Amino acid sequence: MKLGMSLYTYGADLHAGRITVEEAIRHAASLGCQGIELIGDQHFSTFPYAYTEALHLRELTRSLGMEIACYSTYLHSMLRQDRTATFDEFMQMAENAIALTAALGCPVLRPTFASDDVQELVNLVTACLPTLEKYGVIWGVELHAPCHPLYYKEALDRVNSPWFRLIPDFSCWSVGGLPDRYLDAGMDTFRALAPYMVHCHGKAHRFDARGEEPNTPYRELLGILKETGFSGYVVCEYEGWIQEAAPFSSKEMAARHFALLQRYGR
Amino acid sequence: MQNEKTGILYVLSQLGRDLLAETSLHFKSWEDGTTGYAFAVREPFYTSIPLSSLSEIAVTVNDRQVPENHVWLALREQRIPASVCRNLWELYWHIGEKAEIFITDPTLLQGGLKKKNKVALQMTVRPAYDYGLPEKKVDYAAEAEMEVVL
Repeated sequence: MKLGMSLYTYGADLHAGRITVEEAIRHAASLGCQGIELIGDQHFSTFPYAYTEALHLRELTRSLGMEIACYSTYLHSMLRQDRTATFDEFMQMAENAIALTAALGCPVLRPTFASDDVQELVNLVTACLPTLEKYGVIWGVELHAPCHPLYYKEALDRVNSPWFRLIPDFSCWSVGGLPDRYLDAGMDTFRALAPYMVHCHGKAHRFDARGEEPNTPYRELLGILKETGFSGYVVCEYEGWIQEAAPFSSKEMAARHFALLQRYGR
Repeated sequence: MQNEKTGILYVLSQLGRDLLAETSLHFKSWEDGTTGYAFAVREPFYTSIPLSSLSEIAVTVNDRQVPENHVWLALREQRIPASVCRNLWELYWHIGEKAEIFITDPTLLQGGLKKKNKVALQMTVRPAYDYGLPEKKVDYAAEAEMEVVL
């Protein structure tokens, strides 16, 4: 597997205007990350008209010996206040994101799409398959708490395409945070999903004195990825920053988090 | 499920801590002759947001509610009436980006301000992505004593 950093990890300092996206990328490189994940809705100062900026960040990332492992964005159903987005508008958002992912030289797109009916996701992804194939981009659907670990399995089987794969977020196997509907699932559910995985979000909210994430079984999760021969990226996605009111250094959290990935992921 | 949604709302509301980017009310005169007072605010949500997410921007100065037609958001030096923001889904306010709340209330401009003023801001964000929030919104509020700077 390859190890990297989602720039989401630097959210506190980006939100407060203390660092720039370029500084965050340079810091990830200094830690030894092989790649980064960018979120359009957070990391492009020209979003959603970000093509030129995307090329700039792609070149910066490459110049530092890294690659862009995943491009993330949101498909907005409530972009307008007067009505919800139509299927054609979702298609347009998705196809724009696919093209931008390709411009970034990035193989994986995570377009977050909210729906209580998984069939709506299946319909949208199926309609986008020709565009995904044309641009050589894999749609990674993110599995995140509080969803059950097997929530998207049926959709993945129904679409049944190499261009539609899974991005598990470790929050689904965390014992902290949200209530415990998904806690009893155990490591077997993670192992069962291995054939579908294209990219992983190493979620963390805190670290103890030993550098462990006390609520998330990193040793076991990364161990399974090694056993199953996972060849994609696992990226740090530190999320404690949203609730942490006291000033702290995003760079320090990124360093601790990446050290944890290296401990069990190498 | 309700607890989960309430939990998300709590998490999303935490970043309101960065909402006020300064605590001075500075006099501002625009090229078109419009004058008023402005203070800097920072985009409060955890991602960039389209302006259409701004359902409401409400300002009180010394406990007086500024009429909505005298409240503006100045983003990248574009002055936009608060009530119009909710229609502008093509224009984004970026994470960490400063904008200004600009007020043109004649009552305040004509001697209604003191040297130091209690300014309260409430900003209601209706995220463009559906997080399943109760009432589909997050309220951000901040209050500060602001000194007038001419």
